[in-house]
Amino acid sequence: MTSDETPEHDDDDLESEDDLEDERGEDEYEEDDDDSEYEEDDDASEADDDASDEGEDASDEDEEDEEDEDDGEEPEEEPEADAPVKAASEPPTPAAKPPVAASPPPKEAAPPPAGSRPALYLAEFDDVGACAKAAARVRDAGYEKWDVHTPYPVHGMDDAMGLPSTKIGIISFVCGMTGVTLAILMMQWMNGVDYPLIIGGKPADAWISMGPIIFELGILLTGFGTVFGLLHLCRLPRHHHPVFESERFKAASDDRFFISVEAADPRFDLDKTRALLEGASPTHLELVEEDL
Amino acid sequence: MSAADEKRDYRLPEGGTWGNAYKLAAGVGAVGLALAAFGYVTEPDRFAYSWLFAFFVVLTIALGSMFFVIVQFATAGAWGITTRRMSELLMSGIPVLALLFLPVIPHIDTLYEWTHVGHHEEAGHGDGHEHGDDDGHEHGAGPSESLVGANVAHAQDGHGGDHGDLDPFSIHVHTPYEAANHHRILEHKVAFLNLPFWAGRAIFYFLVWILLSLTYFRWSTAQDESKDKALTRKMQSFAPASIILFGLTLTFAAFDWIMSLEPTWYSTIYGVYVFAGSSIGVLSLTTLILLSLRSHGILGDAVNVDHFHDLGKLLFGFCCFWAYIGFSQLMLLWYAGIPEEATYYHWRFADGGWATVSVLLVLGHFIFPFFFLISRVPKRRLGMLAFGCSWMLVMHVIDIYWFVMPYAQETGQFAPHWMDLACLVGAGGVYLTVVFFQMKRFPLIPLGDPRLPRALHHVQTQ
Repeated sequence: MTSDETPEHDDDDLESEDDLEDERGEDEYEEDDDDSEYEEDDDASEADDDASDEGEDASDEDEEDEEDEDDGEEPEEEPEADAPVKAASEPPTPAAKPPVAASPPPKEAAPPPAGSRPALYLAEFDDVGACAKAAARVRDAGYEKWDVHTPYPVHGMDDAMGLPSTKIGIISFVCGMTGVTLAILMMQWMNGVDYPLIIGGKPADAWISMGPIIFELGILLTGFGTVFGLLHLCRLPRHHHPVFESERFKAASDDRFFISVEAADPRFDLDKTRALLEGASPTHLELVEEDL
Repeated sequence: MSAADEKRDYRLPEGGTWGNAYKLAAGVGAVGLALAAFGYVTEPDRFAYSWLFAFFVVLTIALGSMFFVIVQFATAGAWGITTRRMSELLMSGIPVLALLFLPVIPHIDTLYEWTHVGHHEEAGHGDGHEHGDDDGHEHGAGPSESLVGANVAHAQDGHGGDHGDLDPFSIHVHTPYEAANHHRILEHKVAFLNLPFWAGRAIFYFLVWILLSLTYFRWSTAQDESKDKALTRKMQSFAPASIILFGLTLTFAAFDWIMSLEPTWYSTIYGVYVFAGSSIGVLSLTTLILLSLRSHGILGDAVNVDHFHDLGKLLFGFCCFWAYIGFSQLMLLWYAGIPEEATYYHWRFADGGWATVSVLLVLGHFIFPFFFLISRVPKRRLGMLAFGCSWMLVMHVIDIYWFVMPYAQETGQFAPHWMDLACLVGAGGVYLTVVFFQMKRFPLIPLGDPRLPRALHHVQTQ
């Protein structure tokens, strides 16, 4: 599947939720009946459910049984479970579902109180397909400082967000080659020039005996480069991000998909950005503020 | 998937390049076989080595494909389903290898020095009873003149009579003491390296390989029609045991057929080394065939850039794995420097011309492909990937050549021969004829696999 097909084709291109779910380990979700909404059939991505269910059947029989039960129940349950509960201090339980209807979400009309300023818009989706489509809209609108938060890696989201290829490979490679070079220089200097020692009748600066060290130092620096390069690229460590001001955001590690568009973005505009996100029919949209 | 892809039956069209590929393979293979047959008559000794080399190239690729199929069931991965059938087709040619092995058999006297040890023992015991009740193990206590004498006498009976008074196989044996020591080591190994046991093992290997490959091939192709999920379960449940069998048979086949060319030498990692090479061979060949099928529009989008990217990653990974194993073997033998172990690399780094090939392998089998394949770009630009795979395939062939051919010249010289190529083309042609003919009979992707939809929609994360 090529990139241009990913988010736009509703009917069959995006992998179904059942499929995607494989990547995050089923069991933790299966324990709780309330969590069964994960298996729901969503309009945007239902086409492959049958096929992929079969795939899972073959690969895991336990899974098969549980899922079959779940699949039978969900579509009926879902509309009833949507009493919107705005939990202020406790994490949203799965029962606290937001309105599923795609009608205009509740407006956060109140003007920002003094002492705080808009930090970002947070649009919430309960369906990965809708989230990917919304991400494509934000991408096409030219935003830069925005992000998508999902409970698990979503195939095709890179394209939907228009992310360029990561630079981590280059960083790792450069670090690794630095390690290799350092190892060669170090050993050639120490064993070959500065203090040659004949051990086991082998030449003091033999390449073969240097092999393991070259390898190890190359790997070591590659590891450093990858870990610290990744931290740098992810702008970590960072103590706080305004997205955590939202109570609803806790579901981003559970069962919801979020798009945040930051006020720091040059294109950010309280009204236009809201209109853009509303156009993507999120289940909930809020303006997150941070204290000054 | 476009609508056209949904309707596709993934079969080779009649005619066309791929529809007729088996005829081409058969034609080229026939020419190779004819030349090889000519060489068999004119230069039987060289033929023995050339054919063993060609046979082993084909064997590693066929066995590698079997591994690639079974490991996909063992991991129950979905990404490679659409590439699996091509490996299955390569695997389905394994029974032919039993036929290709036959020309080796008349030449085992030429190829394997250890086949003479048993004869010597009979002769030695017939000579008289100066050894008393000593068994072979005791001979090493002091290299006796009678042993050396028997060894020399044997050499003069054999093929190398015109090369002086030393055993023709033991190009590194220079003194009577070395000759005796050399012979003592061989006698230690008679329990394993003797003809009946060797032949029995060979039959066992082929039985295992034919059974595994045909069983998996039959199950997988049966699923095309029946869509029976039980078959997938069955193939998965047999996969781990099959991998163990595969690993043991491949390792010991490499010991028996290649490592015992120099019977005093041994390396416990040798089977792993051969396995790494065979994985490289099969990944390269599979990728090349898939790329060609794709460019002929036969596979549609069933194998897309992301699949090729994954195949390229595996190729890169096995490239590093090969280097890791190869270096481990080299370093341990080099460091220990035990005479009977060091010979293997001694001949490959001595002045006879093999040093060039050894350096070529280091550079061409690892250094260059490492830097060429490491980036994302060449794995996703299919032209570059095709180049990388062709390169690795050639390097794999050179690697096997490097296994076998230093023993073909008694002087240890690097001396390529037209018959090497003829045998390779002949053996490869026969094998590919069968594989390409099978391609016409079955769909090119496993249509019945329950995970197929996920493989069709396979996408990389970045």
